[in-house]
Amino acid sequence: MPKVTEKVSQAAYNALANIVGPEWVTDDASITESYVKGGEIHDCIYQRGQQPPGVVVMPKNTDEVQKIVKVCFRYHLPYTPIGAFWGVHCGGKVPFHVSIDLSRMRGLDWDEKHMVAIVEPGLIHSPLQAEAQERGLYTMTPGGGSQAAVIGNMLTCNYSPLNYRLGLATRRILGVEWVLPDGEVIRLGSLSNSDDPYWGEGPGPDLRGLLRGYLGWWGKVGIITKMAIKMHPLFLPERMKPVERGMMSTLEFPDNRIKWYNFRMPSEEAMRKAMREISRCEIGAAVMRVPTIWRYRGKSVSREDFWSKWGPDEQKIRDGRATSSVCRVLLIGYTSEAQLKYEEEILMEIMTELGADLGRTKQSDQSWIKNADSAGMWWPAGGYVSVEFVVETLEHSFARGKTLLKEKEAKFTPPLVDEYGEEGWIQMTDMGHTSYFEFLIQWDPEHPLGKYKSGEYKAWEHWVASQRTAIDHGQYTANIGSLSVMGLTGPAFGPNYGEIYDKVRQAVDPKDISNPPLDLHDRVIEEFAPQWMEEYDFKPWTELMHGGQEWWKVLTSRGYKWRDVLPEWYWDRDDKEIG
Amino acid sequence: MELKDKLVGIIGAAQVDDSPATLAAYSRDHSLVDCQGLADAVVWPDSAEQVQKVIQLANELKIPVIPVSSEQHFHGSTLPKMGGVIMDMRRMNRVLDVDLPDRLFRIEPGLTWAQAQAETEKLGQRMVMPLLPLASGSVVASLLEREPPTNPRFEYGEPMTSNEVIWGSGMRFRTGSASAPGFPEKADSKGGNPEGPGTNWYRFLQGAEGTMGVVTWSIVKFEYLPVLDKTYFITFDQMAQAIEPLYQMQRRMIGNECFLLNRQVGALIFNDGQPGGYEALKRQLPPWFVVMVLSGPPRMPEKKLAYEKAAMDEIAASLPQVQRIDESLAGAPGLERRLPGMLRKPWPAERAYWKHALKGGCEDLMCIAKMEQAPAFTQTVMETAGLHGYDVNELGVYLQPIEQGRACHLEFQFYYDPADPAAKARIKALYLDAGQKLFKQGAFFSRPYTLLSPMVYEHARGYTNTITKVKEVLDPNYIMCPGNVCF
Repeated sequence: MPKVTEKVSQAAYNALANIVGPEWVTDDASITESYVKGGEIHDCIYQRGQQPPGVVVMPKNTDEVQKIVKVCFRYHLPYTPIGAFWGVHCGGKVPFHVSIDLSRMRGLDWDEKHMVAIVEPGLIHSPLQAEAQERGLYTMTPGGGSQAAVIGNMLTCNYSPLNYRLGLATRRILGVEWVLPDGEVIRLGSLSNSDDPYWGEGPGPDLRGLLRGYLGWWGKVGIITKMAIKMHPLFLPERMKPVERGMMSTLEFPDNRIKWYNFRMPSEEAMRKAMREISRCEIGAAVMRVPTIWRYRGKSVSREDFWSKWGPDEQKIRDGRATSSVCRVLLIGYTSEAQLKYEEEILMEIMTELGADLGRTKQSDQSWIKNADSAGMWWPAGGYVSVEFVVETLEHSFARGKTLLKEKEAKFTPPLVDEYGEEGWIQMTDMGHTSYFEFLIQWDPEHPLGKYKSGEYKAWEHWVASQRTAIDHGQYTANIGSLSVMGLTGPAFGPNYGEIYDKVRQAVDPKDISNPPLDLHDRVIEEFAPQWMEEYDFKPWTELMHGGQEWWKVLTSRGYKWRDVLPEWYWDRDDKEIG
Repeated sequence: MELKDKLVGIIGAAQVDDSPATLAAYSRDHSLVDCQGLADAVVWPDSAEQVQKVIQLANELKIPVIPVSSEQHFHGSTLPKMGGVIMDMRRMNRVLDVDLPDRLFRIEPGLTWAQAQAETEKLGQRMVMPLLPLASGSVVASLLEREPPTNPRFEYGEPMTSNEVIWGSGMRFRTGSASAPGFPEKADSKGGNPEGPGTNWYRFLQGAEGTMGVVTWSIVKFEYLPVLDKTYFITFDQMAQAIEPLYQMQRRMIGNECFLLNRQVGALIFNDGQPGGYEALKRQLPPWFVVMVLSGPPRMPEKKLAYEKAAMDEIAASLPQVQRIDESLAGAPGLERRLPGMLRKPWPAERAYWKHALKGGCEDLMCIAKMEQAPAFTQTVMETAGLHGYDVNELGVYLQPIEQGRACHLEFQFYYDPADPAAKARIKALYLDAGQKLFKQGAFFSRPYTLLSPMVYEHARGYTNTITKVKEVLDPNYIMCPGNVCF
């Protein structure tokens, strides 16, 4: 099958070179090919849908970004903004696109007194957190890890157990500078009338609503070149010091202001009561139920190490067949040492009443203030996807877990790794008003027994099926918007959110050039697994959407068909297990 | 068929009125905005279906729709600036569901602060509310307008989660996790997540002054009622002295309700309503004072109050401008006991609203600022007031710290007699002059309302263009509240 290798025109290339200088633009295949793969999900659909760019350009400031986008607009060139290239969702999906690599823009500025960090899109979480602590502040390093770009992450996910006290990411987004797909630069919040970005909403209707939903647009509404982020006051006189290195590095806790507790709960009912009562007493910095397999992952330093630990214990776990009973609680003395003592006293009283047993745990942080272990947490089995990661209420978390477990065990295990009754990660958010739920599945393409080898396709189907079960059970899901099968979710949620979602996108991006397409998954399913449309009861989004196919018109005008834009190796796979 | 007949066909004759007296009543409010025109009719819908049909009719006829949900209005946003149909939502004032474990309830837009407070009190819970709102004010409208709560402790999240809205296009839609199919009867979702589906639609409703659509219900948070409260006061001669203590206390996450008032506002809200009460307080209250309420949850509340008070003492000892932390306020005996309860209820319905008690009218000039900017901004407003012949001793000032003191809501209150056209004109000139000066100084008007809108939106041209693109999707015929915001 053909692979589209068309490059951008010489005129467009020259225009880009004139903006950034010839050393910051290239169409050398040895470089452009490296812009295909991000660092997140190994070997799954997001990655398969990627295309190498026709050209890579690296601007150094907002002015250059604006000019590049105007060139793209003029030449009708699709572009893909890239911060740290952590998430493969963000990779370009269409041929001859322009990768706008923002990694030269790593600026970081501070308004310490008002707890504001002003960041550029190439900056990652690690230096932000390190500098913040030097200034008596901290932020929440997300599940994606310290290596994720701050702005990219704030625009897409930014979830962690610290959401319990720090709230949703969107509330931490303050003043924003934004280059729209037509090249216009707009400023949100207090930046709209001054150079001070300390306030985010308004004036009037809040355009931050267009930056993201529960998840983000993955680069489909332009490029954020500057963002002010609300930070939080550090509860310690000085920063916590890292010990060890790499993915095992941790921040050691001082014993007077921050402390972990692991409790083994006697029942699921006791788990629920504990989570509720901790919230009712307005204590805690994080409260969660940790799945058994996550603990194995957290302790593993490599894939081999994971299998060497999980394998021998598999029989024991299978015989036990139950979801995790470990309730993990983080307490912080935000105000003083006395607060930690007070909260510990209450926590112990609650857990004693519920018959919980206090276990041992390391007094350090590896994951949420300094997140060094995200790669270790997600890669041990070789293949991984979070089928679900949604915020709703506590009962919703339990219900969603049971729904997904039932589905996974009935249809997809094996090849997905069997976790024997595990119903997923649950944590309290928003001081107990809501709860975060994550259902993570894994497989191993190179597992020596081959048992989990072909998991990629079943993982993909499980992910599609999970959207169907969310609809059937009235459950909320992270898989909405451009990270979903639009033909499934578009008509169902809202209802008909897909219609206005796509119209808003078209209004902002009339030439459909900002990281298209919206409906990648629908198009891939149409091509490779059309039987799923009947099985999961949906129509292709191409039949439902209302315009917004400008880029595809360009593609077809050049004689291409949709299937032509899929990478060559997509067609060369020897297994045909999809569906 | 005339407009009225069509409206009667949708809502019923008893709920449609186009009598001159009714139309005249809806063309006035407590603001300085002059509304020359009248609405064509007023309707009182009772269901989302009726709201949707009226909006569909308005699209057909290309006439404006102006939703109102409170009894009294302050900012000119509900005036029929270009005629049309006033949609009074006050019949839709029910609590539809209560989700006690998650502290959420689904309420209609006509539900008032008084009703919400009573409902939550029955549950042993509380509303987190702005500073003494009108009892008849709509909770949903207040939250959509982003009125700041007196209690910064609960600002980690959104006070409002999911909504049902009829967009200006006539589309009926649920935002947030209530967008799940089958909600509410056949869904596991409780509507607790405000975000999505796809993008954050709820943000387009906030600060929109009704220009995007009509909210027909919202899911709103309530909080646990503390079992123990203790009020403290810190007094100052000058506003600037109060700023650093506020920064430090907020940064250490101390307390629940916390704000700074000047003597004028204090005298208006803390007097007992008896003759001479206001004047006496005006003489006795300190020029400026911080109110801080420490509260304890159900387990070991005394210990919580103790560690928070110890932290306050620590801060006070390090700051020379804090001479002492008082357990009562000079001139207002017993206030310390009444205050927590007072701040968790709306203003008593039987008393004249505190902002109107002095002269019958009050115009609020409010902005978002950094607390360190507040003294300079206050000086600007005082000087401008003097230039316009306004007695600066009657300037009300209220500073509400937000988000651990990262920013504040700063409100200046000008009191006037609304029956005196000359006085009204003077206040309007003062308001515009002071607003322009603050804007140039860097004050941010996150909800500028009618009089300041042209200045703010003209300056934010790119923002205005982009929000207009969103508007054209959600309200393509521009029927919702024309003349508000930048539309």
